[in-house]
Amino acid sequence: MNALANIPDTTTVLQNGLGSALLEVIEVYKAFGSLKVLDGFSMKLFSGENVAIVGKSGSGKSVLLKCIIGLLPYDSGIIRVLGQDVSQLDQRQLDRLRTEIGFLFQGSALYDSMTVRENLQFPLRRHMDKMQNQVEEELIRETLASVGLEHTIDLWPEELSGGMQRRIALARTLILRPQIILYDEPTTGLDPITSREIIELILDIQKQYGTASLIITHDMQCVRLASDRMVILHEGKNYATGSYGDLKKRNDPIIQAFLETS
Amino acid sequence: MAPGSKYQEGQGWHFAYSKVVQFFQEVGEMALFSGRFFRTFWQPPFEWREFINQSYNLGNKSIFLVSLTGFIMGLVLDLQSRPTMMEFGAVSWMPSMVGITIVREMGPMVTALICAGKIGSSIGAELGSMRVTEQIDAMEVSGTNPFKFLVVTRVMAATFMLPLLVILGDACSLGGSFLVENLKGNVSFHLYFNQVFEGLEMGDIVPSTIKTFFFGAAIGLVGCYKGYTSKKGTAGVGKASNSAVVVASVLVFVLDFIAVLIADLFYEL
Repeated sequence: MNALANIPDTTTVLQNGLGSALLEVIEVYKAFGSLKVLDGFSMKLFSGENVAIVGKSGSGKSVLLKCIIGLLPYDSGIIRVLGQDVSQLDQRQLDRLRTEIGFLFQGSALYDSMTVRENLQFPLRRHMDKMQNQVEEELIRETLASVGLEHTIDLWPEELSGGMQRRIALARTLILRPQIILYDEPTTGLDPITSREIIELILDIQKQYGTASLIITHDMQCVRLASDRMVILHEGKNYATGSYGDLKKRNDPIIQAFLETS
Repeated sequence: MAPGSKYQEGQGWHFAYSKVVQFFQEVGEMALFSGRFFRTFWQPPFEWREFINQSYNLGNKSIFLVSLTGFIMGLVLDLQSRPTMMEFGAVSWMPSMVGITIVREMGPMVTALICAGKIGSSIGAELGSMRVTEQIDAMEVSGTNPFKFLVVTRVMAATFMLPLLVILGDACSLGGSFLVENLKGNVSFHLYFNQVFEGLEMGDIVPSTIKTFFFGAAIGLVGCYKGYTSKKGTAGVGKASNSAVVVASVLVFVLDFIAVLIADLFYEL
């Protein structure tokens, strides 16, 4: 826990107001051969807040998300999600924990052999106690309505635009009502208007469901509008943490290099 | 090495050595993948719905191809064997000879090779594209075991569908052969099939049926292994699909050789 005390953080007041940490990343190291990707990275995500992680391409942002969700093992350190140390869980416990974490993939990763309805049914039928068809249908329609795409229920993923696919993927993530959502580049590859819609959707979800979100992005508009705090991942470490406004005031060339792109 | 040759002196050996190492690595990884299949298979719950779905997909979509090739195979086998049998005055043995040839060897082998092409490549390409578009990761992060859902169901479906397809292929082959016998030798349906089944013994039917389960399992496992472990984007998907066909076909020949050796041992006892 001492490692966390060293994180440069300008928003302790904000954190205190947000309650307990749902996610703690403490001194995590991850290397691929001789290439160090995470070099003692630490951060916290508190209940109900949106945190954006920015960093150069290849700086290890997506690797961090995959370590958090247990898709990639990390070399050392601690990742604690909802109080559980991810590296200590067996497969069954990890699967159970994953129902509390949503993950929005950069390419949406919708199951292309299933319709939109079946995509949403897939996690439901595996994790919810057997529910009546009518209740299931209502839940699917309600979740689709929350992303504004109820009318696509019988369409196939290939019939949807990139932005619609991203929304459906978000609906699939939301259907289990997770406490944390991990977004991997949610606005990459989308036009500015659709990007703006996705950002608004992220904020709506935070408001409506009270989820905490970790957003990996290059898009400074997304950082500015959708996040309460941002973390700069530089050379495998948490280089700086703070609100967009606070970091903007800092006279640090590396921080400014990231923020100038906005 | 000749001047201007692609490889410097000694590099050829190094290349050959690295290929041999790569081959054994691949065999080892495939063995581990198969071991994971057997371990995962016993873990409840079994994905019945997906198993039935895959059985339908793999079986139903191969019916036409297997029937057509089986029919032509029977037709050609009869047409080509008939003149020789006539020379020896043994044309009345045609139904028995064709029956034994089809049931013991040609039916299972040809159907398995066709399925190695059709089923092996489709599984390899499907799982490969799921891997590169992160659908397999998405399944895993949603708390579902993708190995169980995708691999176990497909391997089981291939294992159980191949024997049924072989039976269908055999029936169509005998149908093709009957057509030739009927047109050229005026042999009736009843007489033809009576002779076919008189010539067949349990020792012809049982081993050849048992080996088709192994052919199916091998085709399913290789297709799944190649697709599930596919890398390097869309090019990797093509490679996975292609090598699934090649490896599955070779494996079918190797398994057939082993099956024939074992069956031969039983005949000698």
